[in-house]
Formats: sequence, C-alpha cells, structure tokens
Amino acid sequence: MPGADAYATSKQCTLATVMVFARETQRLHFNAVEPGVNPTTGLSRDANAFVRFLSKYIIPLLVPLLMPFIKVLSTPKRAARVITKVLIDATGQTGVYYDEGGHPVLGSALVRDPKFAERVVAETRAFLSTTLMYKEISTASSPTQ
Amino acid sequence: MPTENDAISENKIAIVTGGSRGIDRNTVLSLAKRGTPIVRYPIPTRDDVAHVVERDAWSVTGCLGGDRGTRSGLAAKILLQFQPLWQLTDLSQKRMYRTSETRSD
Repeated sequence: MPGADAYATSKQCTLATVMVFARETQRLHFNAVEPGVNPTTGLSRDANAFVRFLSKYIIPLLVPLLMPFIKVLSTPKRAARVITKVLIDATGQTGVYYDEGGHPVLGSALVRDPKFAERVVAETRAFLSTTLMYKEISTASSPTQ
Repeated sequence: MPTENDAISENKIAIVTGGSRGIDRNTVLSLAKRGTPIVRYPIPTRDDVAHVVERDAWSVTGCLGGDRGTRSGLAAKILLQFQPLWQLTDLSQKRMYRTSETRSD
C-alpha cells in the first residue's frame, strides 16, 4: 500500500507521544486505542482503482463473516465501543495502550523505549515551535500576556 | 451499585474531533447514547479547551487508526454536518447548558 511505511511510523510516533504525555502530565489521562483494521474507513484511499473498489464494495460485506477468524478486523462501531469504554473508565488509568478488543497491550519495543519516545516529542515540539500556530497558542496561554 | 453512566462525571466533557465519519462518528454516537453530559464537536475554541483542562481532570484518548488529521476549514464544515446530531441529542444539549451554568461558580 502506498505510504504504508509513513503510516506505520506516524502511528508509532503517536503512541510514543501518548506515553510521554502520560508520564509528563499525570493530572490528565492519556491512553491509546488500536482500533483494529477497519476496511470501511478509507485506509486504501490512495491505492489503485481495483483495490479501492474491493475496499469499498466487497470487503465490507466480508468483514462480519471474517471477524471471528481474523482478530484484527474490526468495524467503526466496534472500535467506538472500545474507545467509549476507555473514555468512561473511572479507574484513572493513564499511559495504557488498548488493542481492538479493549485489552491492555504493549506497544513495540521502540515505543516502549523512553529515550525514543522522548526524542519523538522533543523533535515534534522543536518543529512545532517554528510554526505560527504554536506561537499563537504559546502567546495566548502565557500568564504574563 | 454504580452503573457505567456513573463513571462519567456531570462535570466531564467529551471533545471528539473527526466525528463526521468512521470510528470517530461512531464514538460520538456511542457517547451520546450513554448520556455523556456534553458531546462537543469539533473543538469550538482554544479558550473552551483551556477551560476544560483547567477545571477538570479528564481523559484524552488518542485513536491511532485511520484519521487524515485536521485540515484548515474542515472543522467548520463538519460542525455544519453535525448540527442534526446536536438537535437529536437533546438530552446532551440540556446537560451542556446546565453544566455551563454550574461551572460559572
């Protein structure tokens, strides 16, 4: 799939960011959900016409049949149930990564490496600090302004 | 016996971005069905977010799959699409106003 590497990398960086935020700001709760593979959400929108046709018209019909056999397959409705469960969780869990069934799982070894995760956040912050939007937010939230 | 709905404090708000379609849309609907005090979409203003974060300990859940990310101008379009949902979730709207009033203390 075109852009698959970039896609996977971006998700790993998102997960690393969640873990760093959870450690940095314990007053808030930061958790991550892996919603499973949801073929109906446009994942293949950049693929060729044949794959897009399959994804749009054929695979959605097969997903309910295949879900019992392919664990990672999911639907937006099922993924939303997991997200809602995590959101309304009253136990105060933070820095937890949930799989498509709502069970806590470990991320990749790279994501679990604090040095890597902190580097992702530091480099992202450094990049964002060069953007106009970040400067506006910093100015607006500054108590001295 | 505490119920699932009790887990959502009267003072908590769910801010869901990207809720026009897919997983996020279903999350909005799922939260609304459970009587979440406020389902606000999209994030209205920076001040509103700051207000929520300052006043409440709340959960932020990052969804790792299938989102194109925020685009300039997209939020306004989606807000218009979600007007009917606001009207349907009348309970949420009533609670939103009530919660807003109690927050002014």
